[in-house]
Amino acid sequence: MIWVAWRQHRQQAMAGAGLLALLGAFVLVTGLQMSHSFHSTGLADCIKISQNPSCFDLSDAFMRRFGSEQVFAILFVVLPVLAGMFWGAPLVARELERGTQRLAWTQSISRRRWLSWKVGFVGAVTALAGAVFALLVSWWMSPLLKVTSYRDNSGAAGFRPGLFDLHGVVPIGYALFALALGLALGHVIGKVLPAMGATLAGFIGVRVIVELFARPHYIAPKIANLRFLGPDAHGWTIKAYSIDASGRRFAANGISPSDITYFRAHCPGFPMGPGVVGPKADVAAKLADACYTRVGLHTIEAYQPASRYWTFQWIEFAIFVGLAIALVGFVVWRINRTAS
Amino acid sequence: MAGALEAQSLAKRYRKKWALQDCSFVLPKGRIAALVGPNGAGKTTLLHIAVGLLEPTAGSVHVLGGKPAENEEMLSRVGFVAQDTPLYDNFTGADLISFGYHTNRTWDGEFAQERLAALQIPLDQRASTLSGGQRAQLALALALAKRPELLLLDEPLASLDPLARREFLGTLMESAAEYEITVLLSSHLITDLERVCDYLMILSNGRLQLGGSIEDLVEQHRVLIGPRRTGVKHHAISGVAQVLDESVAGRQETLVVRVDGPIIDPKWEEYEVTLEDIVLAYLGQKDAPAETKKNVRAVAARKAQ
Amino acid sequence: MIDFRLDPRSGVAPYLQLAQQVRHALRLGYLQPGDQLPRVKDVVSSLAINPNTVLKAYRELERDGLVEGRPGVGTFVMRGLDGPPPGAQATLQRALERWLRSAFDAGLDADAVRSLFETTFQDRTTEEIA
Repeated sequence: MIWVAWRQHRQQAMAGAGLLALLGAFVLVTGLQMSHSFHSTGLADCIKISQNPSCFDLSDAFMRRFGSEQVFAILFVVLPVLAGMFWGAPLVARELERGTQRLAWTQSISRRRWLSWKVGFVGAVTALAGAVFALLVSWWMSPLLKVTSYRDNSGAAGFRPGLFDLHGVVPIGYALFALALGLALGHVIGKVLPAMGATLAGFIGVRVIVELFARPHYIAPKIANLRFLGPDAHGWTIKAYSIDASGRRFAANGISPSDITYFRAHCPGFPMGPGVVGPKADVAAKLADACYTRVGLHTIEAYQPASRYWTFQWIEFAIFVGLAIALVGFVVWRINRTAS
Repeated sequence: MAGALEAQSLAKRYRKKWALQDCSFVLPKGRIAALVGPNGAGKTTLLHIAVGLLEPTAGSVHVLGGKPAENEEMLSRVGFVAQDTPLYDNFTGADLISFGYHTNRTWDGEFAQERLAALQIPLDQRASTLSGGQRAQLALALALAKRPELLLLDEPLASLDPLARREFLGTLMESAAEYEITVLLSSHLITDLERVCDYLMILSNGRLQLGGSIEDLVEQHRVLIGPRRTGVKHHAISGVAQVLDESVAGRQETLVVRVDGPIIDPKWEEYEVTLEDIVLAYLGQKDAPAETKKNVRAVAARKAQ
Repeated sequence: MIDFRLDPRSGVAPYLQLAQQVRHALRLGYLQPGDQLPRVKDVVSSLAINPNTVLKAYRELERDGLVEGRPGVGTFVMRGLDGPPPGAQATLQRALERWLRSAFDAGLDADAVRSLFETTFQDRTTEEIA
C-alpha cells in the first residue's frame, strides 16, 4: 500500500520537493553569507560579551546589509499552510470529487487501513521536510536573532510573535496541523478547491487565535518591577505599563504632554520638554530622573523569561500536534460512515 | 443454501426521498442476472449497498452469506465496476494492475495482463488517454483479477459503442464460464442483456417489481391477442393470474399476462413473451408488489375452493 | 471446427439454434466423429451469450447421442447424422409442389401460405423436441 500512496501522491511530493529544494538553496546561500559576515567581522565574539556597547557599530553595519533579508521570513511562514492545502486537502477530497473511492473502497483493503497508509506516508514526508526546513531556517535566522536581541536588550528576540513561529520545533507542528486540517476539511467538503480555501482560512484562524490569546499564557507570566525608561525584562514582554506611587498610570516607555504637566506640578524645575540638546541635555536628563524617583515612577512588565523559550516551543508544538492527531482521528473514525 | 446476494425489506432514504423501498430478493449463485430499471430507479443505490459503499436505512442485505464489506475477506470476494468505470486517470494500465496487487489479497495480475494484451489495450498509456471501451475492459480486467465469487457492474455498457459492448460482454461471459462467478449487471436497456442473462430483476421507483429466472418468467407469462373487449369491467380470463399490460388497436387487443393455468378460451391467441415485453409490462406497474400480493392471495383462495 | 452464429430474431431459442448448427455441420460433413466441439468459454467469448446456453445445447446433443462430454477435456463428436435416403428429397419436393398448388387454388396468397407453413413448422419441431 505504500507503493500506492507514493504513486498517487508522487507528483505532489515531487513538486513540493522541488519548491523546497529551491528555497533550501536560497536559504543555504544567504545563510552562509550571513554566517560568514557575522563571524569574520568579529561581531559574533563581540556580542558574546553582553551589552558591550562597542559592538553597536558593527551590528549597525550587519543590519544594514542583512536586515532586509528578514522579509523572506514571510515565505517560511507560508510553507506549513501550503503543505496543508496542496498535500492535505486533496488526500481524500480528490478521490471523492472524481469518484475513485468507488474503485479504492471496493478492493480488499479496509477504508481505515487505506486511509492510514495515505495519511502516514504524506504525514511522514511532511514531518521530515518540516524538520529539515525548521533546522535550516533556525540556522539561517540565528545571526539575525542574536544581533536583534543584542540591539534591543531583550535577550530573546526569538521569543517574539512572528519570529517564534519560524524557529525551533513549532513549524513542524504547524505543518502537521495544516496537513490534518486539509485532510479533515477535504473529507467533509468532498471537493478539492473549496477544501483548499477552507484549509487556508481555518489555518490562519487557529494560528491567530493561538498566537494572540493562548501563547502569552502557557505559563503564568512573571511580573517585573523595572526602572522607568530602563532596559526591558530579559525575555518576551507581553504587557507593560508605568505607574507612580500615587497610582497614576503612564505609558510603558514614553511621556505624553499631559504627563509633562503632571511632572511639572510635582517637580519644580522639570525640564521644558523634548528637544533639549547639547550639554543642557545631560542636565535635563538628570533632573527628569530625579523627578521620576521622587514620584516613585516605575514600570511594571508582564513577561515570559527568555529561559522559558524552549518550554514554550514544545508546548505550542504539542498543541498543534495534538490538534493534528485529533483531526486525523476524526477522519479515521468517520471514513467508515462516509456515503458514496 | 445461501444465495449470492440476498436482501430483506431493504430500504434507503436520502433526506426526504426514498431511493429504495421494501426490496426483498434472493439471487441464486451461479446466475448471470440483469438489474433493469429506468434512470433514477435505484439501481446504483442497490449496488452500492451491496458492495458496502452505502449503508441501508432499513432492512438487511447479505452478500455470500455475510454483511457487505464487513471485513477485508468479504471485500476480496466481491468485485465491482462502478458507473462510468472510475479509474485513476494518471495511472497507466500497468500502474492499475500494480494498484490491484497492493490492495488485494488474491490477485491474478498475469490474468489481467494477458487479457488486456489479447484485447490489444496498451498498458503503458495513462487511463485518461484510453477510449471508453478500453477503459471498460480495463476496469473489468481489474475486477476479475481479484478472482471474485460475485461480480457487480453498474451500467457497464452505457457509454460503449455496439462493438465495444459485444467485446465487453464476451470477456465477461468467458470469465463467468471459466471461474463460476455470479454476475449482476444493471442497465436501463434490456436489449443489451438478453443474450447474456438468465435471471432478471426489475427495479422501478425504488421498488423491486419482479425477480426470477428468465426461463421461469417466460414460462409464466404470455402475450395474448384477441378481439377487443367491450364494457368497463372485464371478467377474468381463465388461466390468467394477472393482466400486466393492455393495449388496444382498432378491433384488436393485446395483453401481457401472467398465467397460472392453461388458456383455453379459443378467442385468445397465445404467444411467447419476449424479455422486452416483460420488462415494459412491469415497468408500467405503479405499485406492483402490493397488487401481486393481492392477486396471489385471490388465486390461492380460488384454488382452495 | 464450427463457427456458431445466432439470429436473435429467428424466434428459435438460442440453445436450439446452436444445437441445430451442430446437426447441420454433422449432416454436411464439416464435423466428423472424433472432432472436438468449441470450448464453452470460447463460444461464449465470441458470441457474448450466457454459458448455460451453450451447456444446454451440448447437453441436448449429448442426450441424442451425437456428442460426448469428457470432464476436463471437452465435448467430442460421437457419431454423424445420417442424411436422408437417396430419392427421398426428390419425392418430398414433388409432394410439396402439389401442396402449394392446392393452397393457391384454395385462395391463399403467398403470405398466407408462408404464415401457415411457419406456424405448422414451429409446432411440429417443438413437438419433436418436447
